[in-house]
Amino acid sequence: MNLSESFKITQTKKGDQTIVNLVGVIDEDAHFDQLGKLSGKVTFNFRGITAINSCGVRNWVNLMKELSQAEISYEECPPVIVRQLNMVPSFAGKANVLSAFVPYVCDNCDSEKFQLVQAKEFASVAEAMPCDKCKKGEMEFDGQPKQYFAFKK
Amino acid sequence: MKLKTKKKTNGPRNATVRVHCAVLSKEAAAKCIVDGVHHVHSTELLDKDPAAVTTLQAVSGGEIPQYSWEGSQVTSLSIVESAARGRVIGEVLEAAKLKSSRSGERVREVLEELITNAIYHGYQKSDGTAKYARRESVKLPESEQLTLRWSVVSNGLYVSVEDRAGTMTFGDVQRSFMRCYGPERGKIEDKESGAGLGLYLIFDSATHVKVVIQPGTSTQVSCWIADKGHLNPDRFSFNFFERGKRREPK
Repeated sequence: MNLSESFKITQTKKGDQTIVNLVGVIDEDAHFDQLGKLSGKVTFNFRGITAINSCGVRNWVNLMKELSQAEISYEECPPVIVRQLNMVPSFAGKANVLSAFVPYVCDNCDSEKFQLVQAKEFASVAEAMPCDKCKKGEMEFDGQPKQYFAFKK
Repeated sequence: MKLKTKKKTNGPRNATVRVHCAVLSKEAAAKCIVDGVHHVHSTELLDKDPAAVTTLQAVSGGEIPQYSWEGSQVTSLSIVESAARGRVIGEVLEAAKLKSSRSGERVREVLEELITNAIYHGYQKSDGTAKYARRESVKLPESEQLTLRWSVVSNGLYVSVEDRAGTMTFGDVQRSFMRCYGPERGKIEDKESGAGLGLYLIFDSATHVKVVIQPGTSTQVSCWIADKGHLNPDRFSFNFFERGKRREPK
């Protein structure tokens, strides 16, 4: 996708969990070779992902097939990843989605906010809240909650 | 709700071209397309919807219509190499000044898939296989340069990418949607190309999609993507037009 954000992977251990932080763009140039041998409990953190294209989705789906024996979780999924979770069932595969960023836009000043929501709150996420920037408008959910969290059904 | 359809017999192969107007989900619309419907309008106004009327008139007259969402003041750019697409997409987004980053994400996704589909699937060798490998950075000769068009229209963005190949077929669309919406939903191709997923992402992200094929000459895929507050999941359209004869594969 060459949006000048090269793809980076960092791994850390937290107890018996492997945390894999993903940053940048997932496309045909994003290589997952080092991830194919992961096992046990693995959590992928998508906070730093800015874009993904169809080749990237394909590569990710193939990675999930390789990791079918691992216990996978996804956390801090930004809207670009939530879209793939909804559009391509095999994108998540058997992964448990722990948290996601929910986009809000102010109807007065157009400022945006991304609120991190845990899985247990997906069904009760606020559709609107006061804008903390302009103090006049209301920050509305940029989308439709039912559709945004359709992957949880 | 009564479904309105209009059948038209078109071309030497007696292909059936139908216009389907109803309130549908994208999944239901994709099923119609898999079943052979070339024109789908999801709208409460059914065949009274202005865009649907435009389609019905065009299909009757054998013409390629111009929809209001395509805009009139259009900026054109040439895309000469695959590596330039990130920069070009960024320029369009910068100029369009969309109100929400989610709209921008949809535009980015659509343009990325339109451009890569054109380069890596549009241009083929004589045996029908892709001319350029997916991971190959490509500098297009002048005869293959793509034309990107865009315009801010009615609280959204019109974008279009045209190649000079004209190799896409309605069957390509059907196969993509069958894979991505059908019983095998989400089964993504393992092989290098993965074109099917790209068409699906375009259809899912855009509100209106129009495909015009001149076989052996050009494929133009046009889309309108809604900006913040104007995304209505019940209102969308897909239209596929082909003009001219398709050469049989060697």
